[in-house]
Amino acid sequence: MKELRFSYEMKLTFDTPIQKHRFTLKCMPRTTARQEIADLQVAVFPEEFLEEDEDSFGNRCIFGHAEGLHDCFSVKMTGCARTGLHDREPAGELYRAGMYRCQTDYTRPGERLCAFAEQFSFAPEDSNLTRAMTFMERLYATFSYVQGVTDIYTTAEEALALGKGVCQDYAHILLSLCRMERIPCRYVVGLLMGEGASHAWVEVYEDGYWIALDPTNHLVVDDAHICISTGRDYRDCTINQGVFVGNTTQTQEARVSVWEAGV
Amino acid sequence: MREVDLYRHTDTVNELLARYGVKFGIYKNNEFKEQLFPFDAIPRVIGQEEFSYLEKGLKQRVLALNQFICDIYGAKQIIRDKVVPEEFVYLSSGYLAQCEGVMPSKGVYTHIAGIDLVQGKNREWYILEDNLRVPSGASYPMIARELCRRSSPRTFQDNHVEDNRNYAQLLRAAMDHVNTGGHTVILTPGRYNAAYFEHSYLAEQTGAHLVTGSELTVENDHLYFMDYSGRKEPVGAVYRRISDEYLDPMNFNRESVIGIPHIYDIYRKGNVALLNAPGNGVADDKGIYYFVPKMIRYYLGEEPILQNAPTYLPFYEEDMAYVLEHFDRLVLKDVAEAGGYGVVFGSGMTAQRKAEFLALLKKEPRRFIAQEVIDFLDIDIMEGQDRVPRKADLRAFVLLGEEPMVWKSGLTRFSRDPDSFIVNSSQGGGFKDTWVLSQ
Repeated sequence: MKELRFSYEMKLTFDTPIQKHRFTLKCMPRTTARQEIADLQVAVFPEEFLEEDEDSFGNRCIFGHAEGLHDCFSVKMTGCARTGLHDREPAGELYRAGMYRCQTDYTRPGERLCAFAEQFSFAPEDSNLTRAMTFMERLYATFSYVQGVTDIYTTAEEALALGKGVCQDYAHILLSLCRMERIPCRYVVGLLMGEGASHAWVEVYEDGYWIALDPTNHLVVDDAHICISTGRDYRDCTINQGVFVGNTTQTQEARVSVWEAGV
Repeated sequence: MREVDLYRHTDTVNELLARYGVKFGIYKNNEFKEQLFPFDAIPRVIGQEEFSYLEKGLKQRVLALNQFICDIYGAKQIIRDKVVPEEFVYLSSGYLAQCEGVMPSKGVYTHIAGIDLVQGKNREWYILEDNLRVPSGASYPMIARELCRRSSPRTFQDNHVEDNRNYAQLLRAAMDHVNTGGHTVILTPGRYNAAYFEHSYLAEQTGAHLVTGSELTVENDHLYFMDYSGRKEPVGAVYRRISDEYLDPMNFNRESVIGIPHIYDIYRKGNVALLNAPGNGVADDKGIYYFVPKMIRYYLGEEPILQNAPTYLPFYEEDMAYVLEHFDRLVLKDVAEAGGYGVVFGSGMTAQRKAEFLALLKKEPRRFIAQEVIDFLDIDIMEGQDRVPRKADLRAFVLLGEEPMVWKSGLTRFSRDPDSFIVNSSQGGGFKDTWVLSQ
């Protein structure tokens, strides 16, 4: 168990001003079996219209819009999280997790992934977790963490063909492999101690619970991770999504820090 | 039925239809073309008793479909009880994970259903397809009837035909039933849409505003219509004639410029009604069609009144064996396609094409359904001065308000080509009025 403090700052700058800006932010972590969130402060600029609700995956969302011209959009969030309260999240009965066993556009396997999956053979009694951890181990050994070679549109198949990528790619590949085994699994976006940016990992269904695995770091998630949102893939968990009117070039800066309270 | 004076007026009615702009648009080779929808004056006639049987069957079917959709996005009992395999649900193109946990206003997912039926030579009716997403076509028999009355008033004095001009009232009742407070609007993607005539006609007939996405805006968790003076009026129901995909760029296709950002989020909160409800396409998938009789038994505890065309799912091994054995007499449909596309007849294939198709079928069995070719009861059309038989289907419209309502008419489409079974307007078919006799 840990007491963590976190801050998340994101700023979009537009070289020519935009208007009629609509956005959805999924940046706020929520209290779950594994983590307790307190003192959450969120500031959004511009803050003309802001509403809050959950999406169909249970993630907290801010829906907003800014009508007038603006050349900057920013979000600042701080809060505390008690993590590692449990080692798993309740997931309900298997039939309710069915949508998480189906491949999505990001995870649908092509030749590379199918070939990669062929090197594994499991005994019928191997649990979902055993299978997922075997995949994770092999993936960690063969895939390299390299920034800048993939982007937010890169699919699991494309990333595997490259042999390198970032946390999003590790997560999508692991999801794809698990789903080939018909294991329900979710994509997770969150924050990690020592990471300067948001992070992504995976949860695997095991006996009515979600167990979190971080394939980028080859570990079972304990108390250094703060979960923000879950979904079928990156798309369901996009932190900031928007549409606006304006012909502009945008630059994004994001800064994350997570540290132990009192340290 | 007495001798019908109307048949002599086919040309007049077609001229009037052209004058009123009764057209549909199609894209071919990236070009937008508007086509007239050829009208044939010989109506399809359905007797009172026969229609009341269809009516019962259609109501039953739509109630079960609606319950299925509520269940899929809610408790998922039918999956738990293994009546419908989960892959048919989650891999159907109409399934939207964004609808999980959503209960639309008054629990209605299928406000307007267009159910396609055919009559076999044995006089039995079979359901061919359930169109639940954005079914179109009601406006054509509505206006055709109006114009027929004008060109041949005598016909309707001599024959006791149920008035079909009440479609607008039925639609209005379905819209008002779910309205969350505010105006009712019909949302069109614009004049380049295939069914634009219908959008404007239905708006006029129901008294709803005809709007495009840019005239609607979400503010303070509610939907507003902006009029020309810039005034904002609250909207409580949107009969949207754009597909789920383009409805809201924040939730579905991010590239959509015809949608309304955040409309889906306020719909989830119950602050506006969307007709038809997003995600309902999960029940009109051709793969799910196979399971509709099972749904009727499962949810309603009743035997289905109307039958499906005999259908096989190659997904099941025994059905696959049947399909392989009887391939030459079956029709195969790609579950992902619509509008008469992706339909192939086993008998019409060359040896090479057949080998390729079978390889694909074995590789992706879930992608196809196979059906017995129904020996359609042909109905006559006028070709010049001659009556000639043609294949035809019937799209019945079922509206779900407080109760299900079946419109006492329907769109009868026919194939102009004597050798074709495909009646879709996008493939050059024509249409007829459908008379339901009142006595």
